[in-house]
Amino acid sequence: MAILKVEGLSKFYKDVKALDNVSFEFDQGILSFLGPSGCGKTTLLRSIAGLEVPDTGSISIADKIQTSIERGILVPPYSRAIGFVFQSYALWPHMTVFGNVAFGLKLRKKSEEEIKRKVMSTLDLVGLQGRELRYPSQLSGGQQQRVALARSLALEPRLILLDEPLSNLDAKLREEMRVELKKLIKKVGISALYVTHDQDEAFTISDAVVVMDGGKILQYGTPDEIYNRPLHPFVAAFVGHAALVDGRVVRIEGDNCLVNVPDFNGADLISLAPKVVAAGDTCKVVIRTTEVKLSHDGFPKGTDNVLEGLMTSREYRGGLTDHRVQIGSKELVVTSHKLCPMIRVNGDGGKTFVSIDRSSISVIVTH
Amino acid sequence: MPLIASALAGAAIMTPVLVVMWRSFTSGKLGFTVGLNLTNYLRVFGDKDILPMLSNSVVYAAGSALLGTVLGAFLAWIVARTNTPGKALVELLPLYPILMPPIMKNIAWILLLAPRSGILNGMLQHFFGIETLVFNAFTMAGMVWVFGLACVPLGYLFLLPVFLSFDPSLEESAYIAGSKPVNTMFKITFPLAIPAFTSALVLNFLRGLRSFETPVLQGTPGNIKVFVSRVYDSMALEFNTGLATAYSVVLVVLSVITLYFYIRATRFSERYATITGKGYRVKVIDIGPWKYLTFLAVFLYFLAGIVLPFIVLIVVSMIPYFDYDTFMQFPSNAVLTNYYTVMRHPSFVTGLYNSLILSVTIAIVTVLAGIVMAFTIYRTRAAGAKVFEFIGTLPLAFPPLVLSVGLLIIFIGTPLYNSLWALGIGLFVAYLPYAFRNASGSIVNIHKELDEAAWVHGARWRHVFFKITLPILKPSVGGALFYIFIEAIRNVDVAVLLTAPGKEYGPVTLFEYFRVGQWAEAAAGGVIYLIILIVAVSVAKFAFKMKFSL
Amino acid sequence: MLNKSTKVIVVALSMFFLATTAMAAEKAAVKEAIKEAAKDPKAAAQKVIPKQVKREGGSAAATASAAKAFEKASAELYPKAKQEGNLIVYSVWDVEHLKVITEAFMKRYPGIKATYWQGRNPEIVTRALTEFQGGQASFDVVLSDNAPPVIRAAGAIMNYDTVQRDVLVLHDPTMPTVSLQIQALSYNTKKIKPADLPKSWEEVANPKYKGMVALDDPMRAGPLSSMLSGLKTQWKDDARFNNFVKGLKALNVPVHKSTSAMFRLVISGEYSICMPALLHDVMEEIHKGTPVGYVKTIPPVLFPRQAGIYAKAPNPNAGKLFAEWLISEEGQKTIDSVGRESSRNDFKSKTSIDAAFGKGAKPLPVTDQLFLEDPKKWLDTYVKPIWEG
Repeated sequence: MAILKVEGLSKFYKDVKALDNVSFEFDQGILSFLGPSGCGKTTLLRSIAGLEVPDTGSISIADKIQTSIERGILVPPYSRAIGFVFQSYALWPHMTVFGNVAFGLKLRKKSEEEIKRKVMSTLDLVGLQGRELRYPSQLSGGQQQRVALARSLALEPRLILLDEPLSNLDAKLREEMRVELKKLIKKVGISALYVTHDQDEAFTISDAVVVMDGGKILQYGTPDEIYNRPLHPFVAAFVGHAALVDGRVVRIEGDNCLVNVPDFNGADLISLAPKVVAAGDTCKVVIRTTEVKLSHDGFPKGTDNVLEGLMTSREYRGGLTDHRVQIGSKELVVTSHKLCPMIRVNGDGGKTFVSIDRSSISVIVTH
Repeated sequence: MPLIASALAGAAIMTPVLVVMWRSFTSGKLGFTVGLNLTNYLRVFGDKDILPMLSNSVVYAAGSALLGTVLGAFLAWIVARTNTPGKALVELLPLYPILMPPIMKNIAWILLLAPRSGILNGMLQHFFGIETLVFNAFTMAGMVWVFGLACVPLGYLFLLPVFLSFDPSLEESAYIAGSKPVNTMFKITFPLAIPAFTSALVLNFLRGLRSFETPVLQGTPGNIKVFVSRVYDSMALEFNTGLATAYSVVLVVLSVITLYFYIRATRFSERYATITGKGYRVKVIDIGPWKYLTFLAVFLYFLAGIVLPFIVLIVVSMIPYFDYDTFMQFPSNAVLTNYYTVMRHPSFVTGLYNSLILSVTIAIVTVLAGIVMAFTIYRTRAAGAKVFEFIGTLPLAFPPLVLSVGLLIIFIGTPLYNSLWALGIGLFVAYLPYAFRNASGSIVNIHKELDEAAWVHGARWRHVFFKITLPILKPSVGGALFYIFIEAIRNVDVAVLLTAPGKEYGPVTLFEYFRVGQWAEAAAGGVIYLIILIVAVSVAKFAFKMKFSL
Repeated sequence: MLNKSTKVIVVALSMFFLATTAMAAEKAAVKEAIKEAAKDPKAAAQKVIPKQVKREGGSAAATASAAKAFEKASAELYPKAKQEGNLIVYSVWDVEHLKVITEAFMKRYPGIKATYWQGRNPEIVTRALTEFQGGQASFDVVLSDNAPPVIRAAGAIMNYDTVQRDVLVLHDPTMPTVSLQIQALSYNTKKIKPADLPKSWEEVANPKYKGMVALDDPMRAGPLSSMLSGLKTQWKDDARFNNFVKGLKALNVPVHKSTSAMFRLVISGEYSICMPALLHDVMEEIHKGTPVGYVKTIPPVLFPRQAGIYAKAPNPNAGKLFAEWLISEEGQKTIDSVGRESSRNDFKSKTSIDAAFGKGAKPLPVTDQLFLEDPKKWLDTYVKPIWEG
């Protein structure tokens, strides 16, 4: 049984396609929607909640149709039995924490005792015990965020939708909450859809990630697949630190393929072959710049893809350093975890060798 | 369904409007209605005098609406957002001028500003030897000043809730970007209040367009003719409702244009969400030494809005007759005869009592209906709901007499005729625009996600409406209730045709003195009326800590 | 949940339904009015409107016979009126006055419950004629100045000639004249010396009064326009009339739409001369010691205040009884007690013409039928071309 099934969902705002024939299925765990702002991820989430009416397509939750434009079905949001955590928290300013969390329970005509028990246990769960009589304005950002979560969790929904729930928190708190949120959702054992534009957040929190752009789903896979095997240049560019160069497949050797990159002085790079590929295909070559190794003296023979270039500049970024290396007509920004001592000796403008492991290169055929 | 409720309220409004509109296509006057034709409209559009009249009307209405609404908004900002000293007083002072009916302000200001007999010119001459007649009530400026003062309350009451529930992070981000408080006020705070401001502006503009007392009392002697006099002449001289309606249609067109701009200005309603779901505390801005100036501004408005005219009324109610010399002899020549007369007035007490109950009811019902209507427009997906923006405001385009003819026609022959229900419905139609415009202007300030959070957590529309929208709108609901109650308790124009013989409806008798021009008795009645209200408001405010949108 | 189009239809239908119901009611009312008119062609077309006649003098004999006629009429009407049990009056008069008058009437005729509704003239006409068109038996008597002739012109007045006609200053055989509106030229005694005052209405147009006169708006159905109609009738001289209006216009003074506000401004010294004021206002102020006076030698303009019986009156006998009683000695005393002018030529009071203007005064009655029934047409014909030309 799929907890969520979306088929052929499209939504237009005048000329802008917010959703373009989106289809996917989702079973359980945490699924993140990742993409730049305006990619349609929030519209998708709101359509699932019933807050937006798509122009075409259908949505089923737990095999029950919730939205089907073709069949004229539109279950109102209040009957969908889902949770929703808004980016702005949307806490009702005129109600206490208790009032906010108890709101849905009261509407479900639960007994007063049960409401109280449920609210308290949920507040316990999110670590807000003892704050039930405060008003939202008397809480910190992180606490407000937990109230918003508790408000949804108290109703024990099958599915909870979270719309950039951490974007209003500061960096440190965000990282803490990320982990805590994941633990909490796993503990409660419900499925969650998580919208974010922060790939670190998406990768940390989710079991699977959907990358969206221009209202389309570009890739749906595990964080590992998305990161290491992007199927679309946009995914590669958006997810993590990657450099993209144009190339042409020269030949295929078993699991590997050889790609010629004109920008790198016509060097041939070896990489793992994508599923469907043929010699002569034009392609994008995606290089994970965090995996690239640098050396002043060069690499032992047999090292994958050794290229020669010039170090133009370096930017020290705390734990990380960006090295700008000019290879052919392309500048490669290599991020390393420590300063390379050899390069420090030579300084800027020195000759530098670069090695890229074949597993750090993906080839995306563009034809 | 909010839509059905709005449709009902809309129908209640549209029915009298459609009835008089239908009348406008028949020729002949009262008692002779025959045929369906365009005679009235041909006359209206063939009337070559209406253009200068219209331009006078627009200058007058726009001038006073701007003056009043801007002043009201400014006062609201001072009260809600600044550290002006004397907080308790500053909160209270702008409320009192609301209590004074516009007609009282009119007469008091004529006495103050009349060129040759006016108190102010008299004082200038008496104390400073200035012989030039500086002030003149019978000019466009005089009209705009007096009606502008009458426009302040709406601006104040509409804007105050917006400023009171303002998410300070909206302003703080501007400070961080390097904007100083005053700059932030103009660039951030005021623009975000545009929906409420425009709503009040539109209301005041339409009130100005159709207002009759000021043009009659101040415009006619100054030879300033306004458009609405054509409507009244059609009624009073020709007894031709159809023609009056045809003339009113010009006002309808003007209000539709005004509303179009309002709808355009607020079309991206999400932009104006100043009440967000992020918990926050409203912050008071330290405006430095300016705070003494803002205090002065509040105090000056209090003076001009009520103290000065009130003093004039008190003196006029006690002196034998009014002229400058007699006025200045006060209090050595004070007598209380006028107070005996008023207190002896047969329906002073009973009428006030009747209208009290009705006004409270009407205030509650219209405010609720207004919010439901605004809710339908901005919070449901009902197609074409924007049409309610027009419908909800339409009655204001018709002078009261025209509108009440429509109501009269509807009720005739039904059991409702001559009942309190008819009067109630009439007042509902007359005041819904105020309630609606207030709600429409403030509902867009609530971030949509606050509603949506309720939807997804199982709330039906009625839950969203009663548990979320209404409580969050509480400050502006309070203001609207207060205003409509104060207005309804003194309504004469709409009430008069719908009052049953033998039934006393307070204001008709209370303000009769103004109508028949017995200013001294009117002043005495007005003083008693105002003292009751002022005491009531002060007690409510201090003893019960009641909040009139504060 | 309803879909979009259903919602739109719901809204549209509910509005349409309410509107059409109302319009159907309106149409039915109009049809009925037309039917009624067809039954009685005279009601629809102009009725034979009797001229108002000014009666001079007043003798003891006339007074006695009027009293006798009233007693007879009263004895006849009272039992029937008592059976009807109610009396509903629409009036422009102050509520205070109406209260006193109806209470006195009820005291005199127990068993009749008198109620009133007070509105301004346009409101009275609107309400009365809308009810008439709607076939409503809603009131019995309209007691006012400008409204009754207009309502009569629409066929909504039941002709009734008072039995006390011989003692009336102004008599109209269709509607009993129960009081008079008397206009006088009033002035501020602090501002202008008696010697400098105009000697006639016509003299107000003298350029030397420029800047001193407050003028009632001649283009509304108000005191000045009724005075003009009275003068026009009396003079029968179009050139003289036109010159007078031209002269008034040439004064280039402020005009007022509110007679009472204008009078207050004359008292306050804003203007010196009030063109014109109502006698009972002037008398009340003089009584209070206010520095105003009026020119006794200028003939007062008389405008009838009538008690017209509504064509569909539910209590016609009570209405007639009320009208007769108002003209009777007792009724006139009640009217005088609230400061209003008597309509009888044999009634002594400070607002009576004899007392205020002396025995030899030649009052100027407003009797022009066109002016009374369609003031707009009269003004458009005789005043507008000069005033706005």
